[in-house]
Amino acid sequence: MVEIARAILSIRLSVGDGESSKITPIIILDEPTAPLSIEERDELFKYLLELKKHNSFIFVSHIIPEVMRFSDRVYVLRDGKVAAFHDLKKQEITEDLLFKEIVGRESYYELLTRVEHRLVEPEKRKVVLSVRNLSKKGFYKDVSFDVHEGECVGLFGPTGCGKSEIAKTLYGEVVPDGGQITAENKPVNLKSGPHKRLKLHIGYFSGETGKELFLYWPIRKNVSIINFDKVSSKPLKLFRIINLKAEKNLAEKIVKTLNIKAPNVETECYSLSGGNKQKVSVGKWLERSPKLLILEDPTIGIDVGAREDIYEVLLDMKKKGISMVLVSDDPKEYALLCDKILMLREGVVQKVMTNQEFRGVMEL
Amino acid sequence: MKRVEKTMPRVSPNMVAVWRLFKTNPAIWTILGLVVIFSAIVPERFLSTSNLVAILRSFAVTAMLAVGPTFVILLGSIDLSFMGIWMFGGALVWLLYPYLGLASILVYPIFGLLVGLFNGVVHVKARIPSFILTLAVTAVFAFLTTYVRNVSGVLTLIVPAYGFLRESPIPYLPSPFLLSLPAIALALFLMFFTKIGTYLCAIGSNEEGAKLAGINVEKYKVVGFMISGFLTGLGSIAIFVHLGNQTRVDFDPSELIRGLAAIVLGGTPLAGGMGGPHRSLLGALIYVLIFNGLFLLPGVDPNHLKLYIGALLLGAVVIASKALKGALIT
Repeated sequence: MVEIARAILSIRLSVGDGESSKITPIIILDEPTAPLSIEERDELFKYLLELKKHNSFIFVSHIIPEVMRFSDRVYVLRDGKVAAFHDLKKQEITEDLLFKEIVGRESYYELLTRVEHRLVEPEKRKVVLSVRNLSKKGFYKDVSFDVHEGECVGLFGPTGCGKSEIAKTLYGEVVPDGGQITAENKPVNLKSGPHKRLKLHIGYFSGETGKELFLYWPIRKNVSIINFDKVSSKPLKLFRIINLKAEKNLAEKIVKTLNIKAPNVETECYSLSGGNKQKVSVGKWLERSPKLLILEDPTIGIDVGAREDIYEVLLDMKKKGISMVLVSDDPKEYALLCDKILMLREGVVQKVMTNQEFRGVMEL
Repeated sequence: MKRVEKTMPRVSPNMVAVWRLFKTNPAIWTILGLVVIFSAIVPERFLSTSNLVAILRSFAVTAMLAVGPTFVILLGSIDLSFMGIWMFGGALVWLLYPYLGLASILVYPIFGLLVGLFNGVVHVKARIPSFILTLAVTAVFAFLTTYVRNVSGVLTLIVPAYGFLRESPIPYLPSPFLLSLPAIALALFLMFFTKIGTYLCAIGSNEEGAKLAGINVEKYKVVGFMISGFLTGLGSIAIFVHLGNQTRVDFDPSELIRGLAAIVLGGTPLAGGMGGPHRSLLGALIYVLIFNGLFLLPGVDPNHLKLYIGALLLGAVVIASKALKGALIT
């Protein structure tokens, strides 16, 4: 919001006070809501709609309800061309229609209805991770839950409810004040960092690709960094000799399964689009196959088509028995992926819901 | 798809590989350019056998000052302790020769490894900026070297028994060059065939991401400093022999700059995350060619060469930082 205010102010200043009332500034908004939570988005839109009375906007977004709410005219772009045009003042269109036009096929709403979520019977499945009375002052309190094999547990709540801190605690980035984490029936040292968690087969995937990828590296190296076991031989105890060809084959396999759009595996990651970056980021976990994958905003800021590809991969991994813990801002994501959802408020678990109950509450 | 394949000119994979090499290492162009320029201006002096052997000698020395610290610069830190390792390591060889005999030369790499370990642990645990820390280490060892010389009442810390190392078994290849080969080979092996090289690069380019990818960042930072120290110690043997089986006893900042200049000229930015020892070798060659060529040019005062060294490093750093827009030294 500060940025938007600054943009408007700088236009006013450059024109001069006397003339400022005569001109209409054009403000280009490029995915303005990507880093915001649902509540913050609402606030931003209240403010933007107010500004719209005096200013013109070019609004770039992939979030369809936002576009419908804010725009007067909509141009749908696909593969660098205008695929469709709508004047929202003159015609009524549905969200599903826009979805279809963006992706060129059915939206993941459809995927949502297709995926069936079975209730996990605790006694039949192995517990992969169990958390007991985990607390950190000022963030979360007395959090306890179990993750079973092949189960996805969602931590749901508004921003500031402590869900991302819990996820970071599970991966060893945040040290809790108290509580217990047990993985593979062994207590986890709460102070140990991510490299120790990886040895316990706990992985972490975040949609923030800038945080996770090595942008100036080729796809090949970004993929192999956690898959050295697969691409190297070990003639000596101390050294691993990297096999460049195996590295390349591994990356090519991932590019193919995930439908990553890149000229070849030597392409540097910064030149890829947001969706493709995210696919590389999730792709490296495909081969590693951890027992538990922590997902933090796995599809933040990417277009619908890429989202679908990532969901397919995640659902596939789930089917193979990989457990997950999901933290996100999109209720649909929970409905799609999670078997069990913990509702959090101010760091305390309010309620545990099954997928069906969650869908009922969220009207999905 | 088929149509595209038809119109594409046929290029053999080898050609593509060579082209990639040139594209990713602009230093190669610079080297070719320098060779062409100097061979055109002073052909009979520049291309003479004795001059080419001299180039090989100073290449070995410059490379040995640059290859080790490259591993720390990859991390986004900096290691200036190579000067201290080279100077005081030589003093230790001189001190221990009466007790250890010819084996005392092995003190060099061991000493380097220990200094690297010290640097790494202090840098990581006490969170002291590597620049200040390693500069202080060099200052201390430089002082100690001079102190040893003064206390012993000798002029130079020469160990004549290593005279046989100066004789090269292969004609035209000077022995310092041959002695630098193990360190070069080890550096390239570590960089390209072990995960250490990848991990150090990862930490330098995105520390947060490296952590998330399960790299023990603290451990590999220490490993980086240890590699730097060990390679410098190993390489210092070549410099030791080059100087006539003795070490430097007075501190000269231009030698410090020499190593850094070779690294930056080769294309490893001081911000880390890119490059590697292979580039530092190219950088060392550029450095040597420039000074060898300038020395031969008529009208260039050799006394001013040190000024040019400083100017060259400044220029290289400015260019490198412009290309990156990143923090320069952390």
